[in-house]
Amino acid sequence: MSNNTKQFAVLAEYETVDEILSAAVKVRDAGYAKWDCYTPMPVHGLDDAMGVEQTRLPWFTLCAGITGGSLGVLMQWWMNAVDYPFITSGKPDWSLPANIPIVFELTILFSALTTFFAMWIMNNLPRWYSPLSRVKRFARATDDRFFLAIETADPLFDASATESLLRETGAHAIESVEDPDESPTPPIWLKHSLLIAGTGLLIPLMIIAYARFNTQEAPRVHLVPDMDFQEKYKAQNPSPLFEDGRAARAQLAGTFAFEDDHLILEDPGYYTGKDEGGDYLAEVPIEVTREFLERGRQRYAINCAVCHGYDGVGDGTVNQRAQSLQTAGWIPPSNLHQAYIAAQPKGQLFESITMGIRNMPGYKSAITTEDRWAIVAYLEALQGTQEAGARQLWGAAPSVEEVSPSDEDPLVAKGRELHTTKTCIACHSLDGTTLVSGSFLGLAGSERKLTDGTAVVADEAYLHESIMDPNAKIVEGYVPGLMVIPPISDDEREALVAFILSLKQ
Amino acid sequence: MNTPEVVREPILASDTAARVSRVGLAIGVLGLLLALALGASKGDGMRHFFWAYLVAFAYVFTLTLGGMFFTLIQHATGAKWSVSVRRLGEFAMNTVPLLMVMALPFLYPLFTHSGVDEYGGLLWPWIHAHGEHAELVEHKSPFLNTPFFLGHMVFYFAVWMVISRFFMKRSLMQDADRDLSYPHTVKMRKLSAPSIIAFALTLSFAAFDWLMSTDPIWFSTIFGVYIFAGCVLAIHSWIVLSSVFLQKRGYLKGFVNTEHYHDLGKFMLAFTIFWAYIAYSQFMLIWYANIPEETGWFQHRITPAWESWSYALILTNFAVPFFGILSRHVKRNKAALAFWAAYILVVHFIDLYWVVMPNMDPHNNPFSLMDVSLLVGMVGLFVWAYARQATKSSILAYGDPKLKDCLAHVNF
Amino acid sequence: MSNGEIASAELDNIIDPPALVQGKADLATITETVSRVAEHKPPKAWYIGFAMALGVLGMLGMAVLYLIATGVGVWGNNQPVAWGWPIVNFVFWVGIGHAGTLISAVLYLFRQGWRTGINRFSEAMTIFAVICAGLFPAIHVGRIWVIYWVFPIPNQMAMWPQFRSPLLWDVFAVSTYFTVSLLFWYMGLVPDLATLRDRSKTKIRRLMYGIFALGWTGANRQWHRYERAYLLLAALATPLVLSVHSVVSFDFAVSQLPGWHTTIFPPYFVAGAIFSGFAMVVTLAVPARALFGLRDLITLRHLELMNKVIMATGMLVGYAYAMEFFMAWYSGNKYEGFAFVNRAFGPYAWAYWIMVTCNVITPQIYWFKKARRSIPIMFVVSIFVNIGMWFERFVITVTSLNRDFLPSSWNYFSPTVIDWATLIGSFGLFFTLFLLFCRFLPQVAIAEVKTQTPHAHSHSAH
Repeated sequence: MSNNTKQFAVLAEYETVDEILSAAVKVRDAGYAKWDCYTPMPVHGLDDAMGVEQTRLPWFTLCAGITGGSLGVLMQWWMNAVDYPFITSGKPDWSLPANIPIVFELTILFSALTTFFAMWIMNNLPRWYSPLSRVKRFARATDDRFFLAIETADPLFDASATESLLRETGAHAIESVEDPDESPTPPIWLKHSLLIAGTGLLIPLMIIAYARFNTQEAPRVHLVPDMDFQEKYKAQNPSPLFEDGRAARAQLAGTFAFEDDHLILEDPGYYTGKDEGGDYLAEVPIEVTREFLERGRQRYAINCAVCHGYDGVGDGTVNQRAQSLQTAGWIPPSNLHQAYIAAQPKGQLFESITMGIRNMPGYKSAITTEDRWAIVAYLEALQGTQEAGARQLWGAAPSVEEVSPSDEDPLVAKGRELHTTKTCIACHSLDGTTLVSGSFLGLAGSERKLTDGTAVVADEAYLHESIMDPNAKIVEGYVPGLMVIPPISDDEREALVAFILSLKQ
Repeated sequence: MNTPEVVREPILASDTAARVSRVGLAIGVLGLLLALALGASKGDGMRHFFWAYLVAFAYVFTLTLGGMFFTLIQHATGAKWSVSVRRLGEFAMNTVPLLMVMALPFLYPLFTHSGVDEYGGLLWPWIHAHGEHAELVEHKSPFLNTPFFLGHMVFYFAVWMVISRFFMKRSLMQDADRDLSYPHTVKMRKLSAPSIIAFALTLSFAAFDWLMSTDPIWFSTIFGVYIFAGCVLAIHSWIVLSSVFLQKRGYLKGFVNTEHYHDLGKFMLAFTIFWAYIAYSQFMLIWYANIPEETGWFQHRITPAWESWSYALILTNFAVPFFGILSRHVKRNKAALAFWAAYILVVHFIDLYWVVMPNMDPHNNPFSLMDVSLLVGMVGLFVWAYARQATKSSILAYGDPKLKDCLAHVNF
Repeated sequence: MSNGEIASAELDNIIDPPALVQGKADLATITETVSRVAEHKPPKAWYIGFAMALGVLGMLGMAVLYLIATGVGVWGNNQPVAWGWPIVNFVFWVGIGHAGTLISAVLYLFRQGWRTGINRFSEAMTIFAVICAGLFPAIHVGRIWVIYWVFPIPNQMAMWPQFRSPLLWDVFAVSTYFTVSLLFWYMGLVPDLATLRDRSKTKIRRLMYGIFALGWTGANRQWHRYERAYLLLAALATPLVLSVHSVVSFDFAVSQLPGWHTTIFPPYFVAGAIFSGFAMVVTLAVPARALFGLRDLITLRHLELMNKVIMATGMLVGYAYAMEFFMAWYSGNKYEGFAFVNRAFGPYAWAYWIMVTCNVITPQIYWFKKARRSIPIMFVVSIFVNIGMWFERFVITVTSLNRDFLPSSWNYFSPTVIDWATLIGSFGLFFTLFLLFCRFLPQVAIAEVKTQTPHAHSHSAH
């Protein structure tokens, strides 16, 4: 660092407010521009005495306030009404009265931050060094003395004239302020620590960005055991406590199941949908009246329609949303007008509602026994509305035989029946539409592209393998593990394969 | 700025005041007569007239009570800035007798049976409780009954009479008294705090009695504060207007300067915000909880007849004046501030009309010439009572010991 | 008007009040009085207090760690009182955090010169109280490691916060309030830090104070913008301070619970917050001015004025209690009516009457000037008010919840040991921060106090 210095300013010291005020007036009237007064506290009247113009700071505040308020409105509207609409407290997605507080807070926050930072920036602060600080007496500028400094950079500056002007103002001391050629700079460690701190502040942002955009499927790290892991046994968990190693205990001998405060034994058909012999009841065991059907319609609308739709075609709002999100592994709710469902005995429908089926949960705890029967009764009426042309509204349900061509190979006909009774139909249609999985129409003989890149022709062996071991070969675009191995005998499998082969195009 | 010497001499504006009070009286009488004629011709047994009369009464009531609060709070805080305009507030406060006379017509709807069959009464619906809410009104009857209501009214007026007489008289005595221990100022300061308590309770309950009970089902704990916000807003605007008028006529020159207008403007801005804060708190909490007995009040204000009025209120009473008076330059500009003061006094009426009238008929906005002529008439009478005082008394509290500080003060 | 002619002592307060700086009031003495505290070893009492505060802070740390490791079941919160101790403590601390900004901003706008003696001090108190307040909702969420969900940050679930919830308004209100208070406080500190920098004898002090003083020299062109910015921040902080406790009150009042849902809650909470905040300032100022030799800067007049504010806001709170009771009957809503009868005469009647006694009755003693100016009385009253205001939040929260609409679920709330440790521990956090502030930073705003002396004003007409 060079030790050469040059003059930076002339500094005059005063002892009272009156002195600095009158000095300021004189210097102002002399026409100087680059000069300032230094006082330990704000002095009223000094702005006028110096001719300081009103700052434009309030405009920054106003603009920031308007920005903050508008951002508050936009943010809440976009987040709660557009990007993630969500009904709560019975309020509309976009409910302005509830958004006012945050709009207000953001207005204040933006205004305050802007005012604060704009003030420092306009004041050219922070500054590491001021040449004035080289003058020892200047330390009292923050204590009890008043100073006035005229800089050499001022066009009117003239060493002797300026000094004599200051002398005339009644300064108690006058001193020249020297500035070295090279100003002191902040120590290197300070710069480095600021750099490190600044970089460190970016880390949380980077973590957020990473979390937002990463799509890995590995389960997250559990720092603290969450509700995901509860210390309790679930139905199928093993337990070392019991001899048989099962957590769930078998019922004791002589246990009787209850339902609605009645022994199920009293009327098994009514409570379970199956009679003593284990066969499904063919009809609803309650007299079906208009009121009963009305009750069923109501219960259906409350409990079933969200998935199956009000018309029963399986296109309720839950399904619509799942489809629009393309949820992997989503099993759409069944179309309740499919023939195989229409053909089911009433007891079986009742059982499906009671115990659940596939990914549909059981509604035993949610709907009373009588209401479940009411839904079953209503279902028949609902199905009737879709097929009024094909059969009488209150007539018998069409049997499987009716819908299959009569001149069929008996093996193929058996396969056709199995396709319905073993519920293949729930996922695999016969008309080319894609349900959960691909349609059987035209499957046989087609080329299947597999996820491992190879391709196979869907021949008889392939079909057998796919039924016995569904995950052996996964076709592109399908999810492994979705299909369960159907509980069928080898003969039945033969029939099913023959049926699928018959649908070759 | 040429600051006048503090000379202990009254500033009298007798001629101007006499003229203004005469004009006020004339307008008042004409306005009321016109309204009466319009009301009688309406064929609803004067029902609309009495409801509109209540609004106009409430308007004058907020000015009078605003003046009382203004006076009391200056004494309680020992405020210096306001000394040169305090007398204007005191004049407004001292119109309580007029308010008492104005309340007399309410006896008619309280005791008459006319209109009971068609409308369930001419004014406050609880007088002749009927219909689906009769049971609830019955529950409230220990509070809402005619004798008790009249008892309240007499009590409020008695309290206000005592307060306004005391602070007016002492203030005038202070002007005349040369005792340098300023005994009257000391006395007023001492009694201002308890008076504020009496003021707060009477104002709140008067607001409940007269305004909130126009819907006897509805209730809101903040309602008194809401009316209070209107009082303070109105009186500051009133003082600005009075002072600008007087200065235009050559009075108070130098005594009320830019700094005082700046301060009055700040209070106008602050209470515009405060009013919005209270109005929002009341609305949002009721809207959010959506409890039937509360939310009905706002339901009545979003009917097709009142919806636009309700939304306009947000703009006219908050957004427009807020941005209007926000700037320091506006507050320091006499003409601009006078404009906004007049504006606020107009929209203050919109607010009170909105508070009361949907309770008369939620499905019909009856706003007509009669409402305006009633308001103009009542304000005319208020001006008469207000200006009449200035014919005898100084318009400056020239004996106040803080006057010198008041004239020297500077805003930052 | 000459002072000699004034006879009555009463008049002093009106025309020529006692100076805000007592004793030798020249600029250098003010600098010296305040800076001395930060430059010298503190008195023994400071060390004792600091050690105690640290100990209690440790207890807080353990209670919070235990809570996080175990779950919120360690608290007494349970149905129907699901919002127990933590929300009470949160509202209590946020309330205390109101005095600072009120004194610095609102009194500044009202040109109350006496604020300068106490504003630094109470702003610091505000910031520390808000830190204590923020602790409670943060640990109350249960899974504190996902607390960032309350901020509108894009997260891995592609979900956004629910802005219609008053609890989220709280997040914005309290964090905005903390930020703005911090800016305001720091901005006020800068000129004083420059004073300490210019007085410092050691290199390390010079460096530390120097960095935070930002190179302030007291140039008038800088003062000009600084003062304008200060005014703007005050104008922004004033509605902000009203909004914060209003938003806190919305947490309760938007619900349909009798005892919570009433429209006066926002201004009522704000008045209560100012009330408790000022009481806390008195509680802290009384020992601090004695301990650190600041009697000349925080004078009896300062304390008396604060006591007047305490009395006034105490009565506003009383007004709200009365209105609530009246409307509970007037509304004709029997649940509302029951909630209030239950408050005053139910199982928590003791808490209710402690609240009324401390908040409404005790401050009435300030009608007497002697009481307003008596150090022992004001110290005791301020502590009473602090207790009363804590109980106010307890009464609102617990009595409204403990007997809800379903009599079968009525239950008596009792805090656990961990509840107690967290509440007491929060005082440890507060006092640790506060004592550190007293030790290292100027407790009184040096530059601002100087503006209140005759030395800051011109004596000749200009």
